Amino acid sequence: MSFIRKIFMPVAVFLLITVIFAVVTNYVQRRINAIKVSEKLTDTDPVDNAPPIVAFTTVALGSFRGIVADLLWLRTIALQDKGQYFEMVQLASWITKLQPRFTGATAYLAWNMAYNISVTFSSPEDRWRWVRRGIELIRDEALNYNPADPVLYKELGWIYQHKVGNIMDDANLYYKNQMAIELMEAFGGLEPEWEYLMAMPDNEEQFKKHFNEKAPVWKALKDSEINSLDALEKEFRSNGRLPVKFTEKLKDPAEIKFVESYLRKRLLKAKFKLDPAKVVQINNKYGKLDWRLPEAHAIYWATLGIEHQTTPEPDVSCERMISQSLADAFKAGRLLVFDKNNFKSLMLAPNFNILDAVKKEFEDVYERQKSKSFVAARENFMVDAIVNLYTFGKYKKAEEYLLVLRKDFPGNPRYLKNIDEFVLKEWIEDAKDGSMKQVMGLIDGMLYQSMNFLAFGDADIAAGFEKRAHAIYLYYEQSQSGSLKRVGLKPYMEIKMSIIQNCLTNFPKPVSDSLRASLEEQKVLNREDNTILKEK
Amino acid sequence: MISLWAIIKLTCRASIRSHIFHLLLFVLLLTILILPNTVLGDGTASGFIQVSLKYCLGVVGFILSLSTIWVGCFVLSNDLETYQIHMVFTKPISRIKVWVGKWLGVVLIHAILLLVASGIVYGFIRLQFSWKNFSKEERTRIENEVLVGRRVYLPDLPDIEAKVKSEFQKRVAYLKTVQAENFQNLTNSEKKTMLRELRKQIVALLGEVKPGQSGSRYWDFKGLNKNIKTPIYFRYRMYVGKISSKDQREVDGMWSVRILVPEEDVKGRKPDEEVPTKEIFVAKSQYPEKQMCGVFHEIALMPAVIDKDGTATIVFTNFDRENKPVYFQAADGPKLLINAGSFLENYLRAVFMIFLKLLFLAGLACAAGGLLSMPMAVFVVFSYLFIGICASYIINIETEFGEDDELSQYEAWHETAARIVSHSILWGIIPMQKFEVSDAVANGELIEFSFMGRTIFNFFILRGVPIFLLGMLLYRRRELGLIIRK
Repeated sequence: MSFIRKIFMPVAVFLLITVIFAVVTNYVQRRINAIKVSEKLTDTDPVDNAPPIVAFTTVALGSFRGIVADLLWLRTIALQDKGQYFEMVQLASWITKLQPRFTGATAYLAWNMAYNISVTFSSPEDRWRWVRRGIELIRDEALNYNPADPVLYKELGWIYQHKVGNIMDDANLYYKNQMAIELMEAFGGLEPEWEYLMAMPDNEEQFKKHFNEKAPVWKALKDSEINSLDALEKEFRSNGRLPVKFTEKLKDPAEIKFVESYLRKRLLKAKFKLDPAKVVQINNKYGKLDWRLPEAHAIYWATLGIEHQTTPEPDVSCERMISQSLADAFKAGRLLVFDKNNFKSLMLAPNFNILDAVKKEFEDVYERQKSKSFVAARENFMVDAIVNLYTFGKYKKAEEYLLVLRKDFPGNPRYLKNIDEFVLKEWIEDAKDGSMKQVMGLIDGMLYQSMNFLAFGDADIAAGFEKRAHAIYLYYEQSQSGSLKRVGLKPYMEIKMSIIQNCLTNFPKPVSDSLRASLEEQKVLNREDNTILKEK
Repeated sequence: MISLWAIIKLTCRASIRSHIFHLLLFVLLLTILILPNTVLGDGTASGFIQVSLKYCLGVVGFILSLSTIWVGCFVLSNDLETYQIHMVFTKPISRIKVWVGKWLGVVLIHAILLLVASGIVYGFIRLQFSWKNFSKEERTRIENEVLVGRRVYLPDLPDIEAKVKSEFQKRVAYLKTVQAENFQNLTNSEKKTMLRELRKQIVALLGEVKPGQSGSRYWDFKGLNKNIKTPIYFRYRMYVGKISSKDQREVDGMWSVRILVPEEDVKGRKPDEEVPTKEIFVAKSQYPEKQMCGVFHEIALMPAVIDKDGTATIVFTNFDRENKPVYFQAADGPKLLINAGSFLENYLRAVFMIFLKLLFLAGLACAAGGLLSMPMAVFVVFSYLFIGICASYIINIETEFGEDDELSQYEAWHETAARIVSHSILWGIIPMQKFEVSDAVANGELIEFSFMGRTIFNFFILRGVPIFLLGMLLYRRRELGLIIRK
């Protein structure tokens, strides 16, 4: 009795009081936290999706983490001034972990890595590493902690659109090539069936709902000694395909495709943060985009940026990013050739699938934003589209677009010409102020493009490019008729033949053989030219 | 000796009882467990190892420094404030011995912690290197550039300071005579800025490489080991337009090395017979290569570039398309890095440097703790360290442009005061960054014995020991009866 009274009772009362206080404190604290968030009294509200290290740091260091982040920031600046970069990724990652809500800082650090640090390296491999680190800092870290921050989506989209997609960086072809290769590894080919992927389960629970316990897939897993779905996924991610021992046991092609697509969907979501449902939605809206290219990704992230906005009006920079990326994707949004070993052979072509969608997007954005810049951008796009359509042999559509311009800008003499004159004038514009060297480069480029398309069996497009090269040649010769002796070009056929010979020598053998066959088939070469071919 | 050992043991026990020591120990434990697992590197294998090494070692040194300061101040002041020391002094033991015992006790416990923590870091680095899926090329690169002790050789340069001084004085004389009127119309501050800029230009000109073949720059590295078999590394950084990390771009240039080849046919000669040689220059590439300015680059060279006199000559020719000169700063070298020791040896030297820092900090903390109350002692020690950092920062700004009487006569009074005070302070204060070696270890640079010796002599013996002696003296003379128990 005395034990109960002296020891047990006080301890019990103490514990009871502690529990009551703990419950009450918990309740009050929750309310305080909720009020802090709803009234925006703090910018350091709890971070969702944070890994243990971030959760620990934010709690353990409390407000001092700001000071630590400041010190790391100062170190970042000092190292950058000294031109020492190997710590930068580390410091950026720690700053993001210490201040996960300070998205402006993360956006700056990512931009700094992708733009400033990358260009301090000469080799494209090193440059791409830094651009990728910039992308990863936002996509894989900052967005994980701030999935609803539109600024981050916009910044990420900008790196794709401007740094990877644009031609300002000397290594841009390498970026595009590498990005395409990495994505194709994840796609398991040129492009996945997005609708099919979209319908796949998102997680193991849903997967198990689809395959009950007696489904052959579980038996195949067991028989192939993989044992769990996690282990299968691990192996899939390391090899990029299902293990042969598993597919041999499963046998049913439909089930193999299902399992592979499930794992591929999860890989795309985990590594590239690409949601097939969103991809399908964007494809349905604008037309089929080539998801191996940066423009599609810029559109993807800008779309998410708009969706996460809290203001009623869509953010103009995200809208501009979408319209500009669509225009770029139209001009060069189809990947024709890539080469793991020679990134310079990357070849892009216009994506005519999205032509009308781009035009409509410009019109819709103008309606929403009422900014005249979109009218000018639409006009420029239409002019580019007409020239491209004509070059690629789509004369009817080109004419249709010229009529639209004529209607939208009545009285503008530029659009009153017929389609042939209009396009010829635009082509000539390219060569107008060019020196002999520049014009020569332009003609060489056109002929080279022509040979490329011919090698890949697209004779119409090849003819379009050659027509353009010839038009520029004729214009130049005419405009320089007084000084041809000094700045005249070589005879057109001579230029063409040197390009043909160059292509036959330098193209990879299968492409070169294909070009030779096409040239012989078209009989574009006279006897003398055939001699050149035979010599080769 | 027995009494000294007893004091050391008591100090270790007292340290272990301190809550702050527990906290710092906990932080140290967390650091060596968590930090290595959060390291990302820069995406390359060598970057990963470099960052792991640098931060793990740096943080271990930092936490142990904090702990040393705290415990050093605590063990002496706490004994005084709790009157425990009065009991000790009833025994036949001198105050000096107590002071030294406390100091050694603090050093001992932290040395053990340093040994354990640095051992874990070393093990972690080795494990990461063995376990990570690095390619063969990456492994070779790490072995040659990071996990190694490379001796740094600087080129044989003329006395730049003397050259700058003489050129500077010539130009100043010109300013004061030919353009005397314009010069006199300037304010002192403008004159100083102008002269600083002039000095900067002269320094830059000495490292200038003009575009074209005729402007090629030669660097001779002398006193190299002729018998080495491993590759040697040439590290350089150049600037285009101006010496600044901003607005840098790629420049076309060509690196060549001097090689000695036999002048005549050597057939029929005995193996040890002297053969007349002629020198040829072998270019790294057939055509000029694009090289980014403003960042460090490293080129691997064959040991054959070292001739029989132990000299290597490296040449740079500027082929910039915009015809702009490029500049090499004397501070950047260029440097030759030659394998001269193992990573373990270099790592142990780095650990010794951290130990040296702890040795000094423990003495400083004991000196303050024996004289002042605990919070005051900690404050004084941190102030000492802070002042050391600030003073060297101010002096760095000054010396960036070189010290010159010509410049100092145009200084404002507060600038002169700051300069004199900073110089005076640095006579007595040790800037702790001088002990910092984690950068060198991470870059695979050998921590030379000469550097260690200089650090011990300049900072520990010349500046540290007098502080310790002063601390001991004041502790010995302190009136213990005046201490008020808290």
